[in-house]
Amino acid sequence: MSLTDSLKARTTKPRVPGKRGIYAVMEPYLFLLPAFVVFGLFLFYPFGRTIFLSTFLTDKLGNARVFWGVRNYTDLFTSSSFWASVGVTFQFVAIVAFGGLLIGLATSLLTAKKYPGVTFASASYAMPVAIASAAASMAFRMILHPTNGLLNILFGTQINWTGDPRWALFSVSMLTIWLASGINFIFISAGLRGVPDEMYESASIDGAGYWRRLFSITLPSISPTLFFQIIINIIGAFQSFSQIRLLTQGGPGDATNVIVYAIYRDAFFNFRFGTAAARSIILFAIVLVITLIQFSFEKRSVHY
Amino acid sequence: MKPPPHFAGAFQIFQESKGETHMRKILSLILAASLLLGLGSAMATESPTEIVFWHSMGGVNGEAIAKMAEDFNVAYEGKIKVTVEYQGSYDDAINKIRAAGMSALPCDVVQVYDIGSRFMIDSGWALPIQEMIDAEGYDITQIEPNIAAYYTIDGKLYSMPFNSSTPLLYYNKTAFEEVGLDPDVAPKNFDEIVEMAEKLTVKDADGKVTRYGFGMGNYGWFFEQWMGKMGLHYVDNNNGRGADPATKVVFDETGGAEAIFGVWKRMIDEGIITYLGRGNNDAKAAFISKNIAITLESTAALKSLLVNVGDEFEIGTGYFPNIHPDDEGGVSIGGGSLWMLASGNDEKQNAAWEFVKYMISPDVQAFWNAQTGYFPITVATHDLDAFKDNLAQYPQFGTAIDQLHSTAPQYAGALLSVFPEARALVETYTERLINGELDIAATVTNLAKEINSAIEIYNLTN
Amino acid sequence: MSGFTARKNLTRLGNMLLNIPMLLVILAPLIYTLLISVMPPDEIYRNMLIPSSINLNNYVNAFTHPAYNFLTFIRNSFIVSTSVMLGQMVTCSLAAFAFAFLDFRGKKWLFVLVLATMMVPGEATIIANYLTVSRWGWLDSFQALIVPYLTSAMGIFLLRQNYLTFSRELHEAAQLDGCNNPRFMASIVVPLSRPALGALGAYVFLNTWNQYMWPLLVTNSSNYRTVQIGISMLYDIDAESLGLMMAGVVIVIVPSLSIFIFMQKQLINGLMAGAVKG
Repeated sequence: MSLTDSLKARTTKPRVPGKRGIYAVMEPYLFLLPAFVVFGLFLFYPFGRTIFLSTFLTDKLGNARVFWGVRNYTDLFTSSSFWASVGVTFQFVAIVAFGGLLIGLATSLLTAKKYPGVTFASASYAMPVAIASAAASMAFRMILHPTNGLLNILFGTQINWTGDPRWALFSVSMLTIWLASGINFIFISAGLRGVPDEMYESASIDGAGYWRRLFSITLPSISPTLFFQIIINIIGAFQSFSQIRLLTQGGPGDATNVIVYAIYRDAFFNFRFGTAAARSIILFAIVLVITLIQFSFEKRSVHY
Repeated sequence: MKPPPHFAGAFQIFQESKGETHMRKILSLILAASLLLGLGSAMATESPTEIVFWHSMGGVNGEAIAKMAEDFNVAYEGKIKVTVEYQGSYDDAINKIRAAGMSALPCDVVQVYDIGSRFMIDSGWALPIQEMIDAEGYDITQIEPNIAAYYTIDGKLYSMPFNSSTPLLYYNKTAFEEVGLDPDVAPKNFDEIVEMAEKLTVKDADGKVTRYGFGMGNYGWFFEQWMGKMGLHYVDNNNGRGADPATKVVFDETGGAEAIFGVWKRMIDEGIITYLGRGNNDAKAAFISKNIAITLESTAALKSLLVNVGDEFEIGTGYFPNIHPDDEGGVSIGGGSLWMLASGNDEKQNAAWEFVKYMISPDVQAFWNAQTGYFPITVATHDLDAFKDNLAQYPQFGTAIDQLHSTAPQYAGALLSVFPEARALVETYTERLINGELDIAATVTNLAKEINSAIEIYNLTN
Repeated sequence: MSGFTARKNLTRLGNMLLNIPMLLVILAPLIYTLLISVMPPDEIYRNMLIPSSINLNNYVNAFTHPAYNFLTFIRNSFIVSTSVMLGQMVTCSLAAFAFAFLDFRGKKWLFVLVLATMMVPGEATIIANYLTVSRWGWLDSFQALIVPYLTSAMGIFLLRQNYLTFSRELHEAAQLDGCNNPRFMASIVVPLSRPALGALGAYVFLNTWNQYMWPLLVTNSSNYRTVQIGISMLYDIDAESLGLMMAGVVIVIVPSLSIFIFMQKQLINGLMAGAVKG
């Protein structure tokens, strides 16, 4: 059922005659008003403002001063640091989106059947949903500590997990995957529960083993859930900020300088709101394109 | 689907649901409890002038500030009440001022780091301390001249020095003894450090290093200090202190940057140090847990190191090391100073001035010095028993003071509007050098280019 | 037949055992944090994992020392999270009601507009929002933390989804009874959608409790600073006091974890209901 159909089907026309006065016409809009006022003030207007700001150079207080046209954009496109940032962001998003999905899938499969302790396990797997990224970052600060942290103690290594460019992105990604595993678990579990048992029965009669069942039946059946979850993961990964700020500050070099952090840095450290605004618009465009690509991909490969 | 049976009762939705009443009760309880728990304890009968002080001192130092403020409030009870707000790092604090200043000045006195000085002057928000000094006839010779020199431009003292520090070399005396080095002799330059570090390195049975001889954090401040130690300038126009503000960096032209990056490269290539991240926190922790035997840090970390090391080993201190053995120059003042913000409200400004004077009074400075390691900025402090006793117990506190007296005002350090950004860029490029992305020449060139570009844009828009 | 049961039990056992390493990995960060927070400092520097004795100094310090303001931060976070939660419950119910039950011009486009808000990442608006808020003099206040988040597309979708499960006849019957829309909504729809509202409320509360970037930008004083900013500053403070830092993390996690455990079923069911429909 398409969106339009579902919208049309659910409405009821007022039956009482003579009630088609001004109020009845305005009423729906009144219901929408609170939400749209907030959207207008804090979403639509700022979005426009950001586009406007991106064409200016700002002074040390953040006021638009010198009209700069598209130069903010061209300066970014010709800066190696910017492209490094884009590359890092894509790597980060890919690792986190798929990593989170895999962990969520694994934990969902592990708790698909009943056994003693399954409730505890389920609660634990979902738990990261309740942990703030800032709090987790602080905990991981200790875990990743180069001389006194858990990882180096357990593995007997001396790796500087946040200061070594080979490991910094990995460390931040692992933290983000841990954080994302909760919501992935919740949604994928829900998806698994929605698969009708009949599908499995016919397979076990055929003598299909666990893995065969998994790949031929389970995964295709939950593909809408998986697809939906990947989008959620991607959008969430693009917005990851506190981990970077608290663990690596975008470094070492540009190794973890994801776009969102670069925006923050430009705006609230260098006070160059124009450049930061340009970065924001570019980020928006990227997210938009990715989402559109995904939706067209969905039409082709997701099974219902 | 039938309507719910309690249709009439459902009208209660118009009133608060049970959940919302409950929530409201909890909220008011929490509010009441937190008020009682004393967000402000002044029970003065008349209303005192309230001022706000922003600072960036954490840990042991932050606790000292809290105590000093408490004492001030007791001494000035009923007249002035200061609220102290920790704002995170120096970077965070100055960015908050900048951001908040766009609408309204957020506090009355703020502690700003050395490199924020040019920005504060440019901002126009600062009330130069000179004005309060002139108005009261305050005796400025009470302040150590080498320190005051840093914050004086055109004969005007803009901010009141408060927590001044110089960088020091810290070493593990016990470890020195273990390997046969004289525990009372600190290395004076990097050649000596390399030599000693090799002796101090400890490997375990598998050949893995369990203790590095030397380690340091990637801290832009050190870069600036080494410029001074080599007697070189950071930027043009008399290091930014001339009639015109700086327009470009000069460390690429004088070979200064090259020398500094050369030291880093040598240390990494020869496996003498391991990268300990930006800032000093990881290096401090590594020193405390005996993973490194020599490190560089501000004198302001002395107290906290003493507290955390305890009896594990004896801490030795030495002057900040030279790059080359024959360098002639000196360190400049680091740390921060107290800036008064011009609120236009005479009552608050006078109250703020009282607070500033209190913070640099000899007794308070003696306490501050003993609690932190920052050296006293008031000359008279040296005569106080409290100060002398502390020095007798921990002679390490004297190293920084001696180093201060042996430097000269001409090494006072640069003034640059975009200094914070420049310092961060230095750290970023050091990282890129360390992980082999760029060689020394490329690092210097690109670093200079980026800082110059930042300076240009700033000058264009301000 | 017994062979089959035995194999089934064996797979069950295997299933259960496989969980152990996974559980360890997921729970390790929390357990470690707790252990470090009660460990005496010298043991931390000696890289011990199990403390020899339980030392609660860090917690006492975090709550009582004037340099730290944890109770205030917790209070602030509670105020903000609760307000945003209630606000969203109200605005999203109203909007969802319109989309689910009413017919009006431009309905399709307005709905697409709501959809569009999910496309815009927070970063694209945060700078401008910051400038707006500071121009209004709202910096360092509760309004700045609360007002921009008083609605969300996710909330509107969730509730609309929920309202669509109510039969049309319900609305028509109510109207025949002479019940106007506000009353219909308040007395019938809202009580019926309580589970979804509960799930939304818990979810919004948790998200707001966990916010970082926005509170970082708009608060300056401990009167308004929230708990996430509070613990993140502990890192700047004193990396030597690693134990204190960990105690701070525990303190900050406890409320949100409690809400999660308490509201687990509702939260998960509510979110799942949204997910299965896709």
